[in-house]
Amino acid sequence: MKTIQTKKIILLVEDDPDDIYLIGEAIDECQMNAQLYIVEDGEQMLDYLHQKGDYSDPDLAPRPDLILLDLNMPRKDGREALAELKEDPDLRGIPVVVLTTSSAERDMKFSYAQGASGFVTKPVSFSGLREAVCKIGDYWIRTVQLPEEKPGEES
Amino acid sequence: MLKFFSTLRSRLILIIILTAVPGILLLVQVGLNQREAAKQDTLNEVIHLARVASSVEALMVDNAKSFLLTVSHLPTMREQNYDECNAIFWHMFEEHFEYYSAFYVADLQGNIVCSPPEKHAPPDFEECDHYQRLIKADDFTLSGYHICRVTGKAVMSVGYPVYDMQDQFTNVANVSLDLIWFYDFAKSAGLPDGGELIVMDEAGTILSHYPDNDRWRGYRLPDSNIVAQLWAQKSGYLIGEGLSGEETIYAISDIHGTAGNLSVIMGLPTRIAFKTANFTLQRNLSIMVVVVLLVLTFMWFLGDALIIRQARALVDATQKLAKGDLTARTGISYKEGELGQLAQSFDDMADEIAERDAERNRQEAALKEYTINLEHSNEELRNFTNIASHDLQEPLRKIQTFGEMLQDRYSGQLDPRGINYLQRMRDAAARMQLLLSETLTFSRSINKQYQFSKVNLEPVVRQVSIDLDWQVEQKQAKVVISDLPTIEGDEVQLTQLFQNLISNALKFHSPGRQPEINIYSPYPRDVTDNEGMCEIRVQDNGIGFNEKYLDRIFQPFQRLDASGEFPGIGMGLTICRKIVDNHGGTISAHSSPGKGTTFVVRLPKIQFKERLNNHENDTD
Repeated sequence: MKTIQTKKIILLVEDDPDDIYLIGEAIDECQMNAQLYIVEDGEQMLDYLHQKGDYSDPDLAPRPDLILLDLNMPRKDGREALAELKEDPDLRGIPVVVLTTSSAERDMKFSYAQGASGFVTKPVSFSGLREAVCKIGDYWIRTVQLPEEKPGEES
Repeated sequence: MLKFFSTLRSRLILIIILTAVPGILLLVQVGLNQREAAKQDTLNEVIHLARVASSVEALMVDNAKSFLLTVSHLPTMREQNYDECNAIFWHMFEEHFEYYSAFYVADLQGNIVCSPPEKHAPPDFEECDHYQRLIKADDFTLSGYHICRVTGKAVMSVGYPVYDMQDQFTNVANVSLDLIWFYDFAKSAGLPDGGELIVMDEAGTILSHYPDNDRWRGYRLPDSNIVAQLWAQKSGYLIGEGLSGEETIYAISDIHGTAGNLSVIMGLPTRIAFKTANFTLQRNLSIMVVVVLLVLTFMWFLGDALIIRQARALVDATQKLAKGDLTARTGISYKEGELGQLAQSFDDMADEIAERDAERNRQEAALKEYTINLEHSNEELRNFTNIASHDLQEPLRKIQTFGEMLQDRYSGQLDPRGINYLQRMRDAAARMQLLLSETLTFSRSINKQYQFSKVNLEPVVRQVSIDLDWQVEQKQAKVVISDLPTIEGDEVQLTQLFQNLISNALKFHSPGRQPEINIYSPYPRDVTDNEGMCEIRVQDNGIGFNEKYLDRIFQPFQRLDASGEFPGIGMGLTICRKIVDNHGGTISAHSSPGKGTTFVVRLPKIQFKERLNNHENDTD
């Protein structure tokens, strides 16, 4: 698997189609070696990670190397999803960078307290967004090393 | 004592006792009058006795004179036949003349020539004087009563000349009257037990004393003795320790005798004299006391029924009412009189209070409901503002982002007009962005959960100045921060306040003049005015404004600059006022166009507990 799957997996949790489009554009322009998977709310994210429901096919829901998480979403929002994810021993090793329009201190504190790896407020301009996304990718995709983990296995 | 007379019952008792006082005084007065009358009676009695005694004395002297006259003219006497005389006298004196203590006939040399047996006494000095006077006077001669030095008796000598047959003055006949008659007279006068009757001569010697003649006769009392004092004053009466040692009342009068004046003094022990008066007084007082006690007992029970029970009911009802029991009533049936009226007024008042209380409860409930509704509606409004401004930002951001991307990437494919449209669209979006973010900030300043702590404003303002560094440098402004106080407040909000004020000052600087901003307090550090307020001023030398617009500058979305020269949407000062309001302070400004503006912020040094509590409630 490892030899075949050379691309890293980024899971974007975002309900706004415009933001999905823009972040997708930004990732493309950053030319990072990554495959983008998209879910639109916290429920879907957890289903994806647990490979349940619509995501029961493991090929359609590979374990991500990085999660970009929006906070304000319908159904289950990013805060709840983050808390549940970090409670799960299989999943809490996955780095989560919160990427949101919020710049509220409260959200920031909450995110880090729950174990988020980073908190980035979406820049208003596309150029700003692109720069932010590129830097995130630079670090989490190209620079850091993460343990090889498969679902259901403990390291 | 005062405490004792604070209850109604004891006051009733006091009134009754006070009522009895005039009666008691009257009784005492009557008693004293009776005693006075008893003294007067004693005096009248002695005057009467003296008058009777005078008559008796006169009579006795007359009898003695008649006796002497008869004896001196007896033929045997004139013939000087003395043996026969003795025989006659012996018969005469055998049974009669008990008050003649002595009788004799003597010659002019003083030798007794004739005398009844045991009835002549040897003449003493007094006798001699009397004898000499008798010889010289050649007529009746009285010696006056005196104490005979030989016998110790009180006697008076009466003498008369005897002539012989040749009418020659040869002898004298003399008889001595014994004052013992007065003793007998006193005995028969019916004096009460303990009564005394005393006769004193002009020298103050006691001549006769009833009932103890042997003890006191011939005695001269010392001047300190009450009887001696009374004798010296010659009239009236005196009370004091009498001769018997008992308290006695003495009264004095005169016997106008045939030879000199004698004093008669009657004494009665006060226990006797005032017996009636004292008895009457004691009896009357006893009756009075019994009557008062009876009335008191009566009033004790009657007062309970008439006054005290109602008063207690009133007191109980008042106490209950005071403790909040609005159903308390006196339970007294209303009749005439003050207590009835008082009870009725009280019950009316209690009704009124109960009614008002019910009314107030209704109003409070209504107010509470209204407040809840208002808070609810406020909450909704705040949420609405928050959500609306937040949610509106999202699509706006997209317009800006895609506008930017369009301009960045496709402006080469647009003609200048298209680029112009695009630029205008992006400007409008930027403006909209500012409106929304300011509204959001304002909404947060309302919603904000205030956390009060001690905040030293000086570092806060310095940090703000550092935060605005870029603007300060760009405008080459001079920012001077002086001593600022430490107050109780929310640091984040206070930072926001000064950030808005200073950036406001930077924004409205005068073109062509170096902006100067002074942040200072007019009072010495940490000193407050008499309302406990600190004052901080933010003074600039900017464009200023006409003070008639003062109210407007703090209103939301109100701007004085219509030119568009100064960017902004008019929320900055609105937020400032909101923050100052939430701290219980005030904000105002002095300004004149072209000269600059001074914002005056007054903040309480210490937050009231109430405000802290309110904010704690807000956070619930």
